[in-house]
Amino acid sequence: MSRNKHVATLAALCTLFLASCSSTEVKYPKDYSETLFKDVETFAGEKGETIVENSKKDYYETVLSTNTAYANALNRILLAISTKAHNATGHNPGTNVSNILDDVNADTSIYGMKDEEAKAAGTNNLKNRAWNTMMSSAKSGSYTDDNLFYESRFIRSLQEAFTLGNTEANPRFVNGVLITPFMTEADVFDTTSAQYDYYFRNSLFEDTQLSYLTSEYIYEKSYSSIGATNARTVQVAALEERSDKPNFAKKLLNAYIRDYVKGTGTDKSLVGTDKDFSVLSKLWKGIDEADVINKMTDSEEERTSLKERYASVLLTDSERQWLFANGLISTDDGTAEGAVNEVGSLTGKVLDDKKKIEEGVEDLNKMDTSLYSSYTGSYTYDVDTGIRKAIDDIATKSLVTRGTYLKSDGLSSLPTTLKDRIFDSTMVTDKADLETMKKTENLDKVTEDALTTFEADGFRYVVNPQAQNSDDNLLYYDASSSTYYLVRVLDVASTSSLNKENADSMYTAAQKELLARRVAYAMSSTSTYKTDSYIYWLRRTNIKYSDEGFLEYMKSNYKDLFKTESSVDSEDRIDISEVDFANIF
Amino acid sequence: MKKGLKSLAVIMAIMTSASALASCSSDYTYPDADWNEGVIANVGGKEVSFKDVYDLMEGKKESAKAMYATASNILAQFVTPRSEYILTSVEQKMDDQKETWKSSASTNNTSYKEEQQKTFDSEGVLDEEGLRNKWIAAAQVSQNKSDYNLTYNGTTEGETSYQYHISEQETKNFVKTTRPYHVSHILVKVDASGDGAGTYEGTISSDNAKKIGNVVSGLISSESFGDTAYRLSDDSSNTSYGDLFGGSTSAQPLMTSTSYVNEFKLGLYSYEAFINSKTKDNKELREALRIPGTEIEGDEVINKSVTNDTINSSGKAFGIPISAALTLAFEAEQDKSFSGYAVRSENNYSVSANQYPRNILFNNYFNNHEISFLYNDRAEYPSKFVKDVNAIVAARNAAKPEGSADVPAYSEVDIASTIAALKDGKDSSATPLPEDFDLSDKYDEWVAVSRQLGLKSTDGSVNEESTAFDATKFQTIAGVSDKLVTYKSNTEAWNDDSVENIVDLPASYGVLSYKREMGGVRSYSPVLITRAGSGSGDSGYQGIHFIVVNNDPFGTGDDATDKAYNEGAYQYRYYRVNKPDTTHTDTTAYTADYSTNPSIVNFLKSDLKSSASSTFYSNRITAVNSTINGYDSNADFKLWESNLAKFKAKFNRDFTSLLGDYASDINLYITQTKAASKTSANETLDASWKTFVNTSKLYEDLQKNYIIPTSVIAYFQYGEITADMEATAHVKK
Repeated sequence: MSRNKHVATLAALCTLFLASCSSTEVKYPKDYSETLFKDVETFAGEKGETIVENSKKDYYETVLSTNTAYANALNRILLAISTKAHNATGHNPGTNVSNILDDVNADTSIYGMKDEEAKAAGTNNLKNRAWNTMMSSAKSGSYTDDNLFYESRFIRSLQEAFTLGNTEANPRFVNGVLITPFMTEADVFDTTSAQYDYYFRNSLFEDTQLSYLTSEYIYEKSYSSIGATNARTVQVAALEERSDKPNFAKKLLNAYIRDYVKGTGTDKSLVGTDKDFSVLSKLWKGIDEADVINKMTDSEEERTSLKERYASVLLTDSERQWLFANGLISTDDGTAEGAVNEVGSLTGKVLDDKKKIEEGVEDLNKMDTSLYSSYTGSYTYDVDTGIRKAIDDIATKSLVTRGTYLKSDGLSSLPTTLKDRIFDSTMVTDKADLETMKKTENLDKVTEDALTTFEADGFRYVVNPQAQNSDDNLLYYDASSSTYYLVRVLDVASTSSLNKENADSMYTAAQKELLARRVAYAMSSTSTYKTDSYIYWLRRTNIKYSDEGFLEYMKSNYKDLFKTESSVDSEDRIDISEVDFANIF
Repeated sequence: MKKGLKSLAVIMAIMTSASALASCSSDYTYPDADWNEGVIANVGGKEVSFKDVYDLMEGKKESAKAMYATASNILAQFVTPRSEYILTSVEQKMDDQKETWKSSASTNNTSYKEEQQKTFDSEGVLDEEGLRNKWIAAAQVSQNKSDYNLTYNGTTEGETSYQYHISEQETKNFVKTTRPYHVSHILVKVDASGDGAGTYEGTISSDNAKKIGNVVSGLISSESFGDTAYRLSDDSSNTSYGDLFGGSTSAQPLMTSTSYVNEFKLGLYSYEAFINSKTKDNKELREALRIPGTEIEGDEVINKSVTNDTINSSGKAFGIPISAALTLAFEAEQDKSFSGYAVRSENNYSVSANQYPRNILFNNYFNNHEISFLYNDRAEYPSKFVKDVNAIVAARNAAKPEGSADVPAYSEVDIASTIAALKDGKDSSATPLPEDFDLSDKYDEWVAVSRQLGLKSTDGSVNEESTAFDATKFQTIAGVSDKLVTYKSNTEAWNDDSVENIVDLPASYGVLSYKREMGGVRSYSPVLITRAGSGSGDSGYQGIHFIVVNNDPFGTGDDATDKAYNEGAYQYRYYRVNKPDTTHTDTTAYTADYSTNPSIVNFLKSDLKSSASSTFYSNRITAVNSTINGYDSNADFKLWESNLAKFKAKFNRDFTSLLGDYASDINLYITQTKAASKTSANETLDASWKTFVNTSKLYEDLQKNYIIPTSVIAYFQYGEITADMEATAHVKK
């Protein structure tokens, strides 16, 4: 009986305990029982009105769920740590992770940087990455009308979400912009004023800062894993051949490689002038004023509008003349009848189709209904609109993949054989070997490396072992997708190249850090690194839990934080006592 | 309270320790939570409090939204009296709750107080009084909402007998915001594809063709639009005499947010914006209906990327001659020549259903996705008919059998003699036509069509005794009658210049119209005809729509005689919810007579074949109420605004002045949420416009280039398409 009574008491306690735990009263700021609208209470008292549900608790319980509050609390702690985490290994006092060496420019070759440049990289990391996010938003299609991005729509959405702050924002580009691959944020947003600063600080910086915190952990505590990713910074140009004129892509690439890459063509001045394949992209897209825009409409007003629309990808006179000189178009001024059909480019295909449709309009028996349907969006707009949309697609299409990619999940759209070569762990990274490869007499030759070669333009290219002749040795052809690839390798992360002790590496110490930091940031989105990182940093603080719910939240999500023993315990604690949560950024 | 919680925390700590110990292993060590009110954790001396977390919400939308929710709840309490009913109801609820506590205590083997405490905890109150007050407040909030959604009398001078759901002002807001059109329609579903090649060479069944002709036949007779709809419409609204507001308590008028097929909704809007002389220059209409290209404040242009250069947007519209519609029905089954042979082309190209007369007529006159009008061509039908006959003669002479003599043309001047000759030809009492040639069916066509047009079948003069044709339904309407166009139906240079394939009709014609009832003032609404929908078969609203506007939201009355109409009174008054009732002294507001004081409630009464059911008016009133309740996704803000006004009236003070610094965030939240809703609604409508204009332009292009002209009918009816007509007739190799 006595024992039963004891159990009953415990059960009652448990019930009470559980009930209390489920109560939300203590999950709010201390002032939860205070009046929210004080003047309301005074006024109600004066008027003899009984008004209830005017406490801060009523507001608190509406504005945030408890679990979100815990997640936010954890973020506050991590962000506070992040301001002291950079170089805070062992017993060093740390600085803000936003100071980490970094360079978010996808086209930068760290190998090609001078040491002082490498050491200076990374002054504006958060903002640079915020602009990258903004560009992704701009390309998402949420703020576009008829393929044009309107900054005004973007601003309006921020205003509606209260994320613009009180800034009186104005769009710089009121007419809308067709965003093409090589455009920068300055081409589509108002980067000249500070109107997005509030948005950056309150909506974008946090994720980036936490990624840097993770990357710092990877760099400091898991350095060897960085090289093991065999990450590569590359520029991969992919030209899918036209099914109706299959030889044109290769013809263009061969001519391009001769003049722009190897310098074996007639025009030596072009070598090394196309540092990001933007010119190659334009040449293959083939959007030309005379041959394309003037064929799209007879209206001068519309032509002006189209020129503005495609300005960033419009061929220059010299580029058109280059195409003519290399037999890719039959005239060099685009005025001769028939020249359109000779434009062996992506746009040329559209114009060919346009001509076929026009023939079908003249004679129903010649109508290609499938083509007609294709250019009218399955009969939802007229052909002129369809042609313009098709050229929009070409203008906005990215023919070049640029950036730093990990072997584990990068460049997945490339053919396996090419991908394997790009990420091959044996790719030469020895400084002396590379110097040999770069010697003039060795250019365009596979000397030390079975995978790559340097060319006259100063870039390193993946070579094709199957090539039948030197004209094709840089080209990779994937028959299943009918696509030619031309691949530049800007940087090579490997266990060897990033080994801090390896004096023979192609990279200097500063370059190694910059590249390793860059790769570590790319790795930081992996959930296991993220979790391990948070556990590491939290372990380096003394956390005392006051809220049972928060403790449970942490046990559930970061169990290893509660390991009885950890090597981290030998490192100094990170002191965040002076950090102001409200002013991290 | 704090003390109580702290004690609780000690117990929690004990329990947690016990729990931790139980789950402890050598690998993991779990700390205790050292309870400290308002604090989440302490990190190396740095306290992380709930305040830190909640402070971050300041200035965010979620915060403003929560502030608004709390403030609106309080405001509702202020303006809703704690009525006897509320107090009694809550007291009863409290009594019930006490019984529940008792029984729960018994069931759970707990005490009454423990059960009470559970409820207090879950309700977030301290004691019974707190619970009572909370429930009273909830009842006040609920009552406040119910009161708002009641029907009230009008406030405009002289109209206090008019009843409006929520308020007269809210009904005005409804009209201003949604621009409701009260429309009726007749739908003839067709089995031709509504897209692809179906847009220019749609092929319909003979039944479809007959149905279209029969509808036109009904519309041009003395029969009412509603009766024709009742008899013939393929839409379920036929039981409501075509009234699209009829039929259910959830019916709605056509609003800017209503999802009608584009051709119907935006076709109507195009008519209003570009053709209707009374509204086409109305800037308010253009802005409200989001007409592409309309400049609005701040240099913004609606749907800037849409170039609105369709036939309708140029102020023109295709005209459908009545005779063509009637001929379509008569020749609905013709799939062979008049002589009964399969039709051939001279080069043996494929002659198919595309060349059937019904399909040529359908494509030329009805397969048009913009708005068309039916016009009265009765006067010229006889001569047009003879021209058609002579076209067949010419077709025959061009392809006559070797050695056969030409058939002479019939007189186009002496119609009576031509008709007599055709009749003789059929009766074989006169000089017979060559064996390869038979015009008997053509004569029958004449008899059938001329009779329906109220013409004497002997000479084509007007048959005064005929009641089949009601000429009064055809009105000359400025901006419509003189703006009709048609395809140039000849064989020359058909494809050389596609633009010229569409030409103006040579004269002004009366178009089929219905009287609009506007409180004693009459105006005429032309019947808008459009081919709507896409895909094929018996789906959706695919087919030919005949649309009549019963009431519009922009004041299209006769400017000279009904100022009130144009000032908008009839627009909101039309949505009053007085139930027609002869017991009221104010017979104006409560009248059942639509013609004297129309409303969407008393509409149709005169059209009903049997007496109205007892729920007839009630159902329509419910539908109006439901529409006004639901038209705005931000209706909650209206209640807030209404309560602000009530507060001001009750206390002579602005409620927002009591909200301190939070007022601006709340106002911003309301403003931005409304703006977002408006933006979203505008974008939806703009997207529909874009699709509509783009498809209209495409269909115009296709039809201009590929439509088979009516002149091909003569060749088909003779039985051979000559080589020089093969391209025009689009017979395919």
